[in-house]
Amino acid sequence: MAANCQISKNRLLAVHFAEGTGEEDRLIRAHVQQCVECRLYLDLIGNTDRWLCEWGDENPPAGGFELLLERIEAAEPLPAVVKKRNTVLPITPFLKILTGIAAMVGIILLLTHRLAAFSFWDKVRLWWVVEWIGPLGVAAAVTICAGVLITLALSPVLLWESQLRR
Amino acid sequence: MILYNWMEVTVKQSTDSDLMVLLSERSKPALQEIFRRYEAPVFNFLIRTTGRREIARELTQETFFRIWSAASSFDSGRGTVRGWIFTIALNLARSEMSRKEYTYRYVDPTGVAEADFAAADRVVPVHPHISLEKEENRRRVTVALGLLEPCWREVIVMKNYHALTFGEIARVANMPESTIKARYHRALMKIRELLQQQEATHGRELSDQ
Repeated sequence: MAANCQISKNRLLAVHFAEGTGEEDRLIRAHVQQCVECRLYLDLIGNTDRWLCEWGDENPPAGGFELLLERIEAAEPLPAVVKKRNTVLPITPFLKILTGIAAMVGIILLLTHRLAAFSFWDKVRLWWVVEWIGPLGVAAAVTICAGVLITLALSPVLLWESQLRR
Repeated sequence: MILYNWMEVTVKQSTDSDLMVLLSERSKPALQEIFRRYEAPVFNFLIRTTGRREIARELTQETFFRIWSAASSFDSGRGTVRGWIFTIALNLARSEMSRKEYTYRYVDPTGVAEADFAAADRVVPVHPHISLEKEENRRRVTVALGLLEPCWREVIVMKNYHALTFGEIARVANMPESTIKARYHRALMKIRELLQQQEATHGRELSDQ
């Protein structure tokens, strides 16, 4: 092998595996005709190729794609559960509201009939506002005011409860 | 049905790059086609790199799972689909082989030979001695490859069995092409040495008999 043959090993590989350019290929082949060592090296590559071919390809096991699909489906996130919308309106909230309204009307009516029993009634019944709205209006105003006051008093507890629900 | 058949034909005629585009859109027919094209090469590459059929089977599954998961990250400007798939398979094989409990350097010759013996039972050979000789040659190749340094074995396997160019191997292994060629050269020398040793051993065994 001549002194420059150390460089040509990579080129010999390129020529053997047909990865070189046409011109390079021609030059190397011309060189190989004269260089015994390079010829031996090309023979070595060729022999190794043939020898390695003894270990042929094997068939992969069957059912590989089905296994892969199973794995992909297991790894994919499940679709979000969509809540089925009710086609019929639920009755419970309406019942609650109706019960609340009925209770309030009951309290107002009860208060209307019992207003005379309170000592302040004699003092206020001659006020023009009270005369204008009548005992029913006073009872309604008192009930609503009491309700607002109770709600305000309970507001810290209601807020706390709504925080807990979140 | 007609639409499905049309899709199947289209997918089968698609190039690898087109399939990757479809894969990034989560197309299962595209995955099936990629699997059909590359299952055997990847499986054989992994058998020859790791030397274990069971591990090769698992890693083949893992390779295609990663192809499915990371299809959108494939950039055709940076290399071929084949190279990208081999990069995934090689990285998996390397990480598998770097595990402590793994017997790093030896390909299991008995495991590889089992399949052939099973096949030999099914097919009655015309000349039994030819089949035996082939089997012996195959065993010797397996053992010799197993004795190579893993980094040399990778190059030999990619070059000789999968016909990747040196440039492609350099991209797959993330190394300069000159390093790959140097490794290939060293692997060739080592194989020649191993072959000579095996021939000498084989000759001694024959003379002892």
